[in-house]
Amino acid sequence: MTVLPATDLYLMGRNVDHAVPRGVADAHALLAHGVNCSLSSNSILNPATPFGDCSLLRVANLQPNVLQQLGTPEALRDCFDMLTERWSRLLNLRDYGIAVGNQADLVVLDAITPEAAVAEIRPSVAVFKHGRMTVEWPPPVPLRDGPRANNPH
Amino acid sequence: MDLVVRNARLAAALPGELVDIGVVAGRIAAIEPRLAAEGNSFDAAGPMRGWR
Repeated sequence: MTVLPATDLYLMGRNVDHAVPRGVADAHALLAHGVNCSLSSNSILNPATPFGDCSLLRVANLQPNVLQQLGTPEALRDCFDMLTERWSRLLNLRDYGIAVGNQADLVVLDAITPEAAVAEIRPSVAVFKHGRMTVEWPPPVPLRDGPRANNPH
Repeated sequence: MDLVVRNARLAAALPGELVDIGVVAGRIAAIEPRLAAEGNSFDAAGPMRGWR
């Protein structure tokens, strides 16, 4: 099953004016019962999902915020896996993952761990498709020597 | 190698366990620490990450 937390939050519970139920499926409860799940989103910036930036890590971060009880490392790791390995199994991909012989599709995240990537919505600093860079997004660099003088020219 | 992504911590790795990922013809050809290989190299670790 694929959960779309941003879309469900925006669309559901519109028939009530207080104590609004937030209609997000508890993917972790389903995982505990052996159901494979992924986290994803409807099209971004359309009438059903008007907010977002196409970051799946942002979607994975939203899920434990809404479900309220999922702040453990294991639960955050499940969120990461529902974007990656669990997602690939739902699609029956045979050569998914970083292993010798597989297609060189790589995402470099600016994160210490997968759990931190979800908790902090870390950016993708580089993406490679078939071994060729398709995205480079250098992270912000603090100016450790203090503020830099403004120079309009 | 066509590309080596160096000092990568794979999602399944233990903390501090870094590997180099070698790519030939669009496929992963090697995954090992300190891969001895020539070619374009992208450093995935630390504040100095980028092409080498």
